[in-house]
Amino acid sequence: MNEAKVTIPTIIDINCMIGYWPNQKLRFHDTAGLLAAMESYRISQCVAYHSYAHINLCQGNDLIRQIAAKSSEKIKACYVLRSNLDSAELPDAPGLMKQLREQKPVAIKLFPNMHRYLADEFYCSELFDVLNELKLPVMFDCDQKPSYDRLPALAKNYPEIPFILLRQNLNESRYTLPLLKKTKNIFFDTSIMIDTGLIDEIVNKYGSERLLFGSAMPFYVPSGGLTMIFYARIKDSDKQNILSSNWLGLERGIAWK
Amino acid sequence: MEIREQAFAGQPISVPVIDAHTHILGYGHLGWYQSFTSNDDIVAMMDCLGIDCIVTAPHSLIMGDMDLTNEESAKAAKEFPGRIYGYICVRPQQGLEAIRTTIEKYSKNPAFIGFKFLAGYHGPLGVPEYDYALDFAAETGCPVLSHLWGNDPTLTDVERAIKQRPELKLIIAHQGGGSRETTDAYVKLMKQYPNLYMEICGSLYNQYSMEEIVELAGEDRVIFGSDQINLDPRFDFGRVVLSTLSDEIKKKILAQNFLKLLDGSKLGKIVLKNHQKRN
Repeated sequence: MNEAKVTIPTIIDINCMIGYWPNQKLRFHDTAGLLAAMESYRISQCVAYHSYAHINLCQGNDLIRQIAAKSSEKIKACYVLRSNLDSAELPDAPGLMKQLREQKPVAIKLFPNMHRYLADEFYCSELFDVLNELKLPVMFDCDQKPSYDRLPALAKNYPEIPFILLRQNLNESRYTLPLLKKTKNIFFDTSIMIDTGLIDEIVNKYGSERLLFGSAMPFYVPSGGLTMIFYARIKDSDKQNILSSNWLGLERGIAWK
Repeated sequence: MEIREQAFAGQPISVPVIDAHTHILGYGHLGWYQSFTSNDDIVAMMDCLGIDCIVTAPHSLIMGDMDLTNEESAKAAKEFPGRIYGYICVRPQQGLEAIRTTIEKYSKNPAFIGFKFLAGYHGPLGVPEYDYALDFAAETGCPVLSHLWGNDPTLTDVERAIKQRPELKLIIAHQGGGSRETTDAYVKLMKQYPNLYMEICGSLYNQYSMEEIVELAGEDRVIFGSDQINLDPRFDFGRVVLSTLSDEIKKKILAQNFLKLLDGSKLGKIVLKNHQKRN
């Protein structure tokens, strides 16, 4: 076996959470636990939201902002938002724009099913207009994403928003491939995209630029998702794209000014 | 180099690896998709990961063709000796007589090392046709791998099978059902019956890590399987090799535990030729 020193790609995990979860004893719930898990899997940076944002957007987002500020860039803040601007839970559009520009979260996570709204132009136009202007990445968990028949229009109507589908699921290649071919701003977390050879096929046919790595810690562990990339039969530069460069490109693209 | 370091480097693993849960041939029903399906491609992927051999039950079994399925395994094993082994596949709906004939034929082929049941897909485990095959497996000392997802087939049926046959080596697939809750339920049964084993594939929705699964089920009773090419083998393989378990435990999961199940079996045996070559 080759004992030569090997270079491990830089790994950025775009899908983490800090905080408690009602019906589960999680493997960690705090900053120390997240950092330890990241270190174990050689993850140099993560994007995380705070679970308390489900209860109170303002407080939960403020908690992750504070955690990120103290983390020496290891943890980047992802805010949770909802559809009703100019309400008791969110400022109006100019107010939200001002707040986001001041606080600079690197992504927004939406839970339309859990929070009872539809992530479309009718219900979320004010919110999406703000996020589109900022070019802020918007993430959906696999059970929270808009339906596949709504996604193409959403991506077309808000072309500056990178929409990221987290834990893009097994057995969904007949949705994934057309979305890759026919849209420009839908991205996919590869962690459980485990249809045989699908990641290699996507990279070889469509490029690696719209694939990202997320672990879904603390609910899941990163190991399987990481080896899907470590052992992918693609170029090292494509592995690096998926594991960190693509995310860094999205982060650099945020229009704070 | 430690196994974990080899995994971080994306190198083939240098210790013996047997993939005890695989399906050759393509399968496109529902949402299933494979970007490659040939046995050449499967063996190439095995080489990429360092998998010495697979034991297979071709996908054709799902739709119910027991004869075609076993023939495909026999052909693949002949084409790739030492790399592809077969499970004798039976489908109860084809009847007891057909199952007897199938077992009689393939138990004499040294490339077949045990049985695979798609109970659940093919109805309950507690039927006379499966009982016949279970009795045969218990008598000949070969292992049986049975599908179980959710609670289908039921753990009641699993307990019935194992309770009546203390000699049987029964491996339940998918960590006992694919989720933390089903793993917990299966582990309770494992604690009562020492001849029950847990195979790990399809764990993408199971919140337990491999470290936690080993803690629950015991390092001597966890068996590596990937479900390739139904699933991409790199996922569940990674759950083992990139875990923080010791190399000694990883070696047990990756091959040793399964090889022990073949001890004393009157069916075929696995010979790890490829591993010797690599080292």
